[in-house]
Amino acid sequence: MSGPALATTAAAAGAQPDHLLLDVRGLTKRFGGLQAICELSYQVFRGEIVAVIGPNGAGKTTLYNLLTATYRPTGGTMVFDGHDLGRLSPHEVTELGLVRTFQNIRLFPNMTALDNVKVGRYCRTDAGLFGALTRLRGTRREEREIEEQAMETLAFVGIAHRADELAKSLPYGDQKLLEIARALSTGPRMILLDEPAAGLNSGESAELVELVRKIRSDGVTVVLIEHDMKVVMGLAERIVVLDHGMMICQGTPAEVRCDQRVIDAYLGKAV
Amino acid sequence: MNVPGESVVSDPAGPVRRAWSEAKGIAALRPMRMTSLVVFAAAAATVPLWVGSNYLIRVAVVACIYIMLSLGLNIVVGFCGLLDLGYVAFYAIGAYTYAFLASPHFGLHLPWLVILPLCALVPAIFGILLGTPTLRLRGDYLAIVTLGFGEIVRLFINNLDRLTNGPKGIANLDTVSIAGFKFGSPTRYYYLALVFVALMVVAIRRLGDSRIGRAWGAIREDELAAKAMGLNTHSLKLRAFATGAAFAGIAGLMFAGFQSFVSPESFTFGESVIIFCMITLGGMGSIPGAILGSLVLVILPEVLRPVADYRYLLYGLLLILVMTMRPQGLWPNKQRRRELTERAER
Ligand SMILES: Nc1ncnc2c1ncn2[C@@H]1O[C@H](COP(=O)(O)OP(=O)(O)O)[C@@H](O)[C@H]1O
Ligand SMILES: [Mg+2]
Repeated sequence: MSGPALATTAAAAGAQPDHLLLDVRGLTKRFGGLQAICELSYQVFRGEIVAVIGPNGAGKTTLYNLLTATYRPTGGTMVFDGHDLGRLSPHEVTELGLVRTFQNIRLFPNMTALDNVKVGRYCRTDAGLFGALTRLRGTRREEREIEEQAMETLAFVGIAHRADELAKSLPYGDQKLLEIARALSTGPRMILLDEPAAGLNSGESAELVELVRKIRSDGVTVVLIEHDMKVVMGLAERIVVLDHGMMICQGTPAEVRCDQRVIDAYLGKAV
Repeated sequence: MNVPGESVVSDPAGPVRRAWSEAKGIAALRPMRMTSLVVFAAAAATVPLWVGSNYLIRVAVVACIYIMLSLGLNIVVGFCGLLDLGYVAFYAIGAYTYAFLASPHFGLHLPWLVILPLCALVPAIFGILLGTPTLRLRGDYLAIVTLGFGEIVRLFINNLDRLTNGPKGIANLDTVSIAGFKFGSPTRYYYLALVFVALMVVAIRRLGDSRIGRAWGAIREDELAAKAMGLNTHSLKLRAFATGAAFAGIAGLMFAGFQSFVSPESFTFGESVIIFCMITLGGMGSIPGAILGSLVLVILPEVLRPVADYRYLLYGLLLILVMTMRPQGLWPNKQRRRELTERAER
């Protein structure tokens, strides 16, 4: 399935081809007359924390929807670890190890926190109808593993004590953490966080920063969309700035902060 | 729904109190559930002893058949959230599979134990054939397509005289017998049906509490998020559809063997509606609810027999009354019950 032609292009262009994980080239998405994403090219390397910032309506969420095959691009290519994402369906993208969270929380509200995370294990396990009906030893072992791993993941994000509560009855901050736990339980290589700090107080934001660092040191590459500049500046090694679907600048936090275009388009307004 | 930052002011004793009230709830529930299970099983096992007439035992068999149908529809609608209005078609396919293979109609008289798996398999295959193109449709469209499918199957049965003997139906089906033991009397047949109900209850419980069952729940709750979390929703929905169809097929087999006769008029759209009413009345997604709902809607018309003309009027009124006063159903499933109480706590 991996397009060799595309992989070669990626290798030729990337500075550190071995570490290249995501390679987006000329990505375009039109909604009728609206150019939500316009000729966007950028790379993400293994082990990075990259922030995507930009004003509302810049196309950040649309970018995630394209990467996770929720939307089909109008043009351009997206290659994740040698696989062309443009041809996959959403669950195949997740199976490849690219997973997302949602800007507006989308948990399974009437399931417990634990079951939400267990659902994330689906793509790494394989008991079928027969296994469910017979509950032979293999299935029981798998169920135990799912349970253990789900509990570990809940503990990892710090909400193990919420395991048996319904997702929708959790406080807002814990719901956001649960979404991250559910995404992590799919065993990703790269996680796309969509405004994880939105609606959190400063204490919770600080904890989120720590959590994201922990996620990265577990070997998961992180891309995050975020408006909270404290979070962005504290986490990101590289920042990509979008405006009107176009990348107006990318660089280290220090570079981006001083870039006149960024100040005009985004930071200026925010202050 | 949530005010950002709301969690800061959350009551610090909240979790403790919640854990405490939950512990109390479980302690109060467990013995009650055990008792009700034992009472229910004992009552079910002794039905032929305490109901006086063969007629009433036959009513009990019919109740068992509806319970099987409700349990199966519960997988499709209650677990996976798919609005299947043509469910009765799979019931018909199961019944006719038995009629074709165990009657003078084609002169075939296969052993019951050979027909049994076929009556699950054939409807499941039809379920997959119907589901493959249609399960990509959104809820309300799916409802219309399945409704159409139900009618088409009935019309085919009605008009394919050569194959199905049309509206006259197929009569003189073989008496059900397993290894020479004949289930000729209503009492014997009742026990056979009861065993199948018990097996199906175990099966559906296991399905609900499994990797696949959780995935079905995720689809019901938020299909887009389910996809993003790596679920092949189309294949999962197909499996829900096929499993529900297999349950209906077995119910069809039981029905055909019991009546020893099948005809298209047993498989109208009205039947699908009644099965829907049963699981809604009992509580969507709840196994005891499906059983209770089926019992109420089978027994009620019998109880109301004396008021003959007003029977279905009262039946309808009662349904409306229950659903307005207890929208969660008579015996809602655990999670829905929690949903309602927790909403009240907020
Ligand atoms: N499904 C859609 N249909 C039409 N327009 C859309 C759709 N999704 C996003 N857009 C438009 O694309 C632009 C970018 O949106 P979005 O990616 O959500 O921005 P943000 O950077 O705030 O996340 C907006 O103008 C939005 O209205
Ligand atoms: Mg957005």
